[in-house]
Amino acid sequence: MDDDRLLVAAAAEGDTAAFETLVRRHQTRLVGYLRGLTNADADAEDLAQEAFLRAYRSLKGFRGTSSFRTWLYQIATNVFRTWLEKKRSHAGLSAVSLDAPAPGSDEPMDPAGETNPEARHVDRDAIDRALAQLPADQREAVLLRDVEGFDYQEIAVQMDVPLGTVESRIFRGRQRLRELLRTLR
Amino acid sequence: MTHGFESEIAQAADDSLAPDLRHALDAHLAACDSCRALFDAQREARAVLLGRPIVPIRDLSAQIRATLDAERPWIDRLNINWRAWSLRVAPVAAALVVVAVMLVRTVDTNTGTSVTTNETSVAADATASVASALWSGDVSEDTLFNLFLRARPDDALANYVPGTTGVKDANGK
Repeated sequence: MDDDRLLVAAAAEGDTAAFETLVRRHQTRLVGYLRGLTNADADAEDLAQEAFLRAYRSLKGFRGTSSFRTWLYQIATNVFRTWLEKKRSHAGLSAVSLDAPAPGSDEPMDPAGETNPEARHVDRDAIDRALAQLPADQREAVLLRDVEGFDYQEIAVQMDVPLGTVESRIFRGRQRLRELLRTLR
Repeated sequence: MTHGFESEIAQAADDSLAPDLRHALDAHLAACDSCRALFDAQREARAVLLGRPIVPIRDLSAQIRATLDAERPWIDRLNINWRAWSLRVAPVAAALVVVAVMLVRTVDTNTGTSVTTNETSVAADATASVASALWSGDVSEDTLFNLFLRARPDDALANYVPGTTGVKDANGK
């Protein structure tokens, strides 16, 4: 959004009202993205708040080479990764890897397709439970591409990986997700 | 088995593959069932994700702003427009400076000496006292010499010149 630039400039000068407008503009989608990553409403809201606060405190260093939204999601992705590391270390796992599924993703998936074979609609909770079974790096990639609509280059910046890695993660993430979602239909 | 078309299939599934590459891939998909199945799976997963509902959330903006406002220095929280404020005060400040200068630059009518500060006033008094002592002729040369060496601007001549009130010689006796 081009008119983010004016608000970003004002917020960088300490205008918290301008930043509040930016928060209102982006919060619903950002929380939705983090909900897809964490599979938990409360965690998604907490991480979104943390991401917004970090963004505000870093605004002076925002060079504007990407859009504010791209930059915000990059921060949010990093906040999520830090949260995931802490969660896994608290769970007593010695090795932290983005390849592992999300904590709590082993909960049984809602068998909507089994109880109602006619149901074609897959609700968000069911999608998020399927997403939670993907490795975190694939979850980030497919959410950023297919839900948030970022292009491959933007995702490469946000995830800090080469373009080819993004393509591969999206491909493998979708393949795995399709298998998981089949049980819901 | 993707026959090396993994990236192209992913991009074709979300319609971001360059047209020339898309033509080449379509030609391959028409002849390769395994790649076609992969492409269809990509499309299917993407369609589900595109349909993922956006759910309204609790408004976070007020809480975030309150946190940020609490972190700001108190002077910033006053939200004073310093530029406008200083423009209003500038004429008053200028007038005060003029009045202060006028008060300080008074003229000592007794000596005719222009007095600009307290320090120069004391220095002028000391100079006048030494001149008086020279005129009087009541002091010895040694006393006068010591007077010049030791005189401080705020010392009264009486402390140095014998025969006046509070008489002291050059040795302070």
